Amino acid sequence: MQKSIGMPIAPRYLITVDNELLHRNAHPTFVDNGRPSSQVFCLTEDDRGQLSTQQNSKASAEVAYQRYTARGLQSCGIWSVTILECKSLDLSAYDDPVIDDNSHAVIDLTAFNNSQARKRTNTLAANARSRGCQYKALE
Amino acid sequence: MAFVRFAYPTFRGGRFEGNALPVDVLPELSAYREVIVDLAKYLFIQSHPTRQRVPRGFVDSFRLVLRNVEPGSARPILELLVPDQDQPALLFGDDYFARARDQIANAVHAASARQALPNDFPRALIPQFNQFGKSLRPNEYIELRDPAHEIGPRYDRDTRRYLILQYRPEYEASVDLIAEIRGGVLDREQITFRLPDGTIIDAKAPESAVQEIFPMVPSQVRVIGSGVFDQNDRLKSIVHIEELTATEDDIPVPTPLADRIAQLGALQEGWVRADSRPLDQRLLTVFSNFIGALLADGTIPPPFVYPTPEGNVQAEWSFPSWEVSVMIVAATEMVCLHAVHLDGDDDREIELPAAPHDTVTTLRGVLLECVR
Repeated sequence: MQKSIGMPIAPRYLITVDNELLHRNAHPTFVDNGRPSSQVFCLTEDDRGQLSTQQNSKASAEVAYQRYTARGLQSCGIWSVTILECKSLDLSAYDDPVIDDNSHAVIDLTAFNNSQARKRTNTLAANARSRGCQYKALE
Repeated sequence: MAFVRFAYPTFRGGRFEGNALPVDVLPELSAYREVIVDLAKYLFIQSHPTRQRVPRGFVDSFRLVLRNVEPGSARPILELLVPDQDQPALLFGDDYFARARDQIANAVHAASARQALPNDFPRALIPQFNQFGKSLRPNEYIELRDPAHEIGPRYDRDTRRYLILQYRPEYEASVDLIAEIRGGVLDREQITFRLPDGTIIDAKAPESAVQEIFPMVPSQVRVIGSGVFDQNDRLKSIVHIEELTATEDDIPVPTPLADRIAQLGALQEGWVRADSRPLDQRLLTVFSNFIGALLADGTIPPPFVYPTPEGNVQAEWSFPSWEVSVMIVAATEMVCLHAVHLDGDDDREIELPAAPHDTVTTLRGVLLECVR
């Protein structure tokens, strides 16, 4: 997880625009023939229950990709979900700018155990797949 | 004319839980009738050693009709149409058809208990079971009831397979799979497919069908029909193609399993994180064998396969209402199935050891529930 610049999960940072897209970069190994693994939306231990994303209103899918890979991380493209889709799973997303990316936001899964969180992230991944790749890196 | 109740082959599980009988399984009733007729003919000849064939009208006397389907999964009531006052037994001295029905039930009962077939059951008739039960899916079975018995032996895919393998080293079963068309030979009425695991198999098809597929080479297609499997449940050939459809271009198709395993086997240190290690080769072998066994009967479509950051390997399927993953854990070689229903609260979590055959059967059953 990137270092936050001090905007904790709190109502005033809640992202409320239903059609706001939240982007996730996909590591090339987690994409097979254009299909991203559910792991693209899975939490890791380092995430501490908060799934890192980038808000489309502050960084388009292409910009989100550029900012992500500029940090030396690998990505083969962007898949995205909406705030409305998060809400339908009882999930909230919060603005959480970091030093080199003001678009950074988190989807809060801290209220859920591993099984409950996984169920939600798998559904988010399915929604993102249905929407299709939002930005594909040049090969 | 009068109706005499003869048999209640009760269809259970899967497609039959709605108390209705899908019309595409009606050929099963016809195949059941054929087995009864052939066995009845055999029994008659046995009882009349001097005769070469059954008397005229013998087969025609067996007028089996379906007048209704009773609830309780789907229970077709098969009745004999007989002349008023007559019973089938009166026509040829004995009721060979009822005896045949009972001997079939006895053979199925023995096979379902994985026991040797009764000595009086003619081995030469066993291949007939290739036609009867061919359309059954792994979670479905037929209970062979009759008017004298409230319960009957359970005839499912495994029992059918066991029964047929008593006589020959291969059996026929339905297939529904994704494959790549590689080509065809007009004169041999043959189409060649490449399965997701890299296996090349041939399919019998009319010349006109072979001609139609040439422009499709080498596209991915869905093949529904029936195929021949060996004793290890490996598909050897396709003997009948019922439906062949091109998969839509915008729907991703998994990399063939063998190729994908090779890709994952080539991952280097630090492949996703600085501390990521190459995947364990033994794990990849166990995974490949397990998924191969899961796909062998053609009922489960090939999955997408991914490594996990922890060094495990995971297969994933996206069905219309379910997202399913099957992961094999490197440290324990346990298989973890996780299924999530996309429109509700339903989910499944199962953890079993990878090695036993039962694990394949159990997980295949869950996956088939999710496919529907």
